[in-house]
Amino acid sequence: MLHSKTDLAKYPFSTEAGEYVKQLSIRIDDFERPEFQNVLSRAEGRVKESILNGVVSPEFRDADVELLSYPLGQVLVAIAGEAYLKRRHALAEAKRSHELLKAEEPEKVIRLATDTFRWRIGEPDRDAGSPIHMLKLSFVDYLRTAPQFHDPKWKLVNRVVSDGFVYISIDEAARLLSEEVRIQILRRLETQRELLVPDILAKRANELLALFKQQRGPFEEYGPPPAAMEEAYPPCIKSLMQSLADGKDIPHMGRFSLTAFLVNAGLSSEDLLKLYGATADFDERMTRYQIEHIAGKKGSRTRYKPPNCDTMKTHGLCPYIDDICKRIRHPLSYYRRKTRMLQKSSRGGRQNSSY
Amino acid sequence: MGVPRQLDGREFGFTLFKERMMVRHRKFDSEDALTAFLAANGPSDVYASAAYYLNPELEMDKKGWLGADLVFDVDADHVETPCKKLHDRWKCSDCGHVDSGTAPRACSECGSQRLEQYKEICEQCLQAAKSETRKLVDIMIGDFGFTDREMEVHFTGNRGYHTLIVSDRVRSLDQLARKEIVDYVCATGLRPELHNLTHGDKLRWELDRSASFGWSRRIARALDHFMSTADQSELSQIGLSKATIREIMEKRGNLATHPEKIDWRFVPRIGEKTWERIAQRAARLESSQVDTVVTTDIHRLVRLAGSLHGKTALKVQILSIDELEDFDPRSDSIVFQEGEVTLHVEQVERFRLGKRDYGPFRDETVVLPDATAMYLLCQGRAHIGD
Repeated sequence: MLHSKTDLAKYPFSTEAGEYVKQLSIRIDDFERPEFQNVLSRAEGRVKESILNGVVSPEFRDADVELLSYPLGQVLVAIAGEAYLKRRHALAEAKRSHELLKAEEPEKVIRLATDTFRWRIGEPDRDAGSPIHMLKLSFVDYLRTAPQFHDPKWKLVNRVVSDGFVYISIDEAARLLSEEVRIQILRRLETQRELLVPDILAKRANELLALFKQQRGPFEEYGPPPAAMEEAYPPCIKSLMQSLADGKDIPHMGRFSLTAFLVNAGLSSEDLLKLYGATADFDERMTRYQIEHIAGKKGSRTRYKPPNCDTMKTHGLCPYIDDICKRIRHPLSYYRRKTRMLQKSSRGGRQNSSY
Repeated sequence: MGVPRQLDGREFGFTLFKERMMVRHRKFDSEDALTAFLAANGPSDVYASAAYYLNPELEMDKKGWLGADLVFDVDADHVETPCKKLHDRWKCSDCGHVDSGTAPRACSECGSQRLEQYKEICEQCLQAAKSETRKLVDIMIGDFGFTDREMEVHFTGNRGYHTLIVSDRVRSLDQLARKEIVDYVCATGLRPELHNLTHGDKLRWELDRSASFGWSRRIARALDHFMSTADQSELSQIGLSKATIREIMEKRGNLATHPEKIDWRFVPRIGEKTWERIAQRAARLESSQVDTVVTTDIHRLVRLAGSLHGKTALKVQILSIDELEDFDPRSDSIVFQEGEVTLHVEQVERFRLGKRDYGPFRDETVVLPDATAMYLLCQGRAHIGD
């Protein structure tokens, strides 16, 4: 049970905190009033902290102010309307939750997880478990958040799993819970509709938006480079290309990944047909059909993207990892990075050997 | 027939004998409707989606995915077995060289990489598929906590087994989650060091079988097995010195008196790298070779249990976990029990169906029991009439 208001302020994402705030029956224009200026200040502060530090500070003095500033901060972000800021703010609040949760008593963590996120979590039987693990979490709940993390220690195969439960430490539970918080906030921010807001909020939101834009710097340009550069293909694609050139049979997933990659890299259907023409089992009509489907010219008209690195690994399509691979999670990201590198060096720019 | 739960939420697909194209996006409101359709159209193969949809009959992006059962596929064709060396062949398209087993990267004669593969499935392959399925089932029960009632195992009617988890718990698992599960089953991305198997003191705790779980226990068990039974050559293969090997051999005597707690700490010169190598080898033996694509595909169409396989005329047989052990795929899935057919058979090697062997046949006219005749006809290895 979250007894004190301090607890509610610490964990404003909890169902209890939400209910408490609701029954205060505050309306959005109430924030114009002088007695709520503290709350507005702190709400602004939260968003500023997200923008400048990437994390909202966990310390506070007045629990009521702290508690109310949480939803108000999100309202400000919603008004600002900038997608990247929404993601940043959700993450910053999540990080704050993590800080507080990992220092919390196990019973409270379990309560929060159970009441707010409906997790099946508890303490394992003393005689069976190891001293290192303190909690056990149902694998279904674990898999809702853990796969987002990329450190191999989060992979299910590297965890202690027994009887449907994954064994985790308090810190890890805190980390996963904070991920749930992030998702919760993001979902709310992304479904926010147009609100009729008092001028003061709109004004503050605009100021925050300006600060955010200033911090972010020039907008990065994305999009495929002018022409497909084979040199810049990631190892997985190069390997598939090699197999193709060698006339080897490529399994379906490999074929799909290769086609989807090349389509996104700017190859035309004709180019691809020429490429596939070399294989022993080439059936032009079938291949053309497949290519056009992947390119989005037929069927469901979705232009498919190649799978990400993790999926490539699962299907045995990742031959090895080079330096660039370590920094990215998707073959197309590799391609973008490497083409930029190659373009820079070809223009005679400074050799950047840190890559 | 094994109709799936919530029939009206599933997408059905059929392959027809003549057209050989698949018909998809069909929906049925009742088992009777389905049966009537099957009787009227006689498809060669019937499939139902593992997924549940709001509108299964609409196109993919309009179906409204509501969830899916968790599906695993073990195909004897994709399972590594030593017998493949005996019945599989490859041929070089360039120089004509022929050799046995799975095709290498390049022809041993001329170096060409244009190689054709010829495959067959033998009893050993089928047995291997069964044991891979057994390993999968053990992981599902022991590690994931599923009960018999939440699982279904089906013989596919040809050369493998499907395992379906139909529990409500797994329904809403997304693609990332399913990918994690299949990685778990295949031991993909396994890092032995994260299981504390390669750091001195902790090794002892993990090898205490009653205390460790999941992959830790599995590797510990396999590691244990290896250390207890590997012969001289296997031990020296992993790089151990003669002195170390001798010590291991001596200490093995203790197995009889201390079966529970085996302490391999006494083995001095086995470094981290070696333990890792042994652990990876153990993981490979303990993992199940399932088809990674099937499990991660949340729109997958799965053969309908109780239907016949279009290439063999054998039944997609539902099995309980207990029945799996003694199940004989080439015998217990036969549907056509009576009657005989006269037909012309091409070149077919000796094979078993039911309790009998048939063949070899060399372009001859024979009288065969219905089931055997159907089997050959479905494979296109025989025809009726001249």
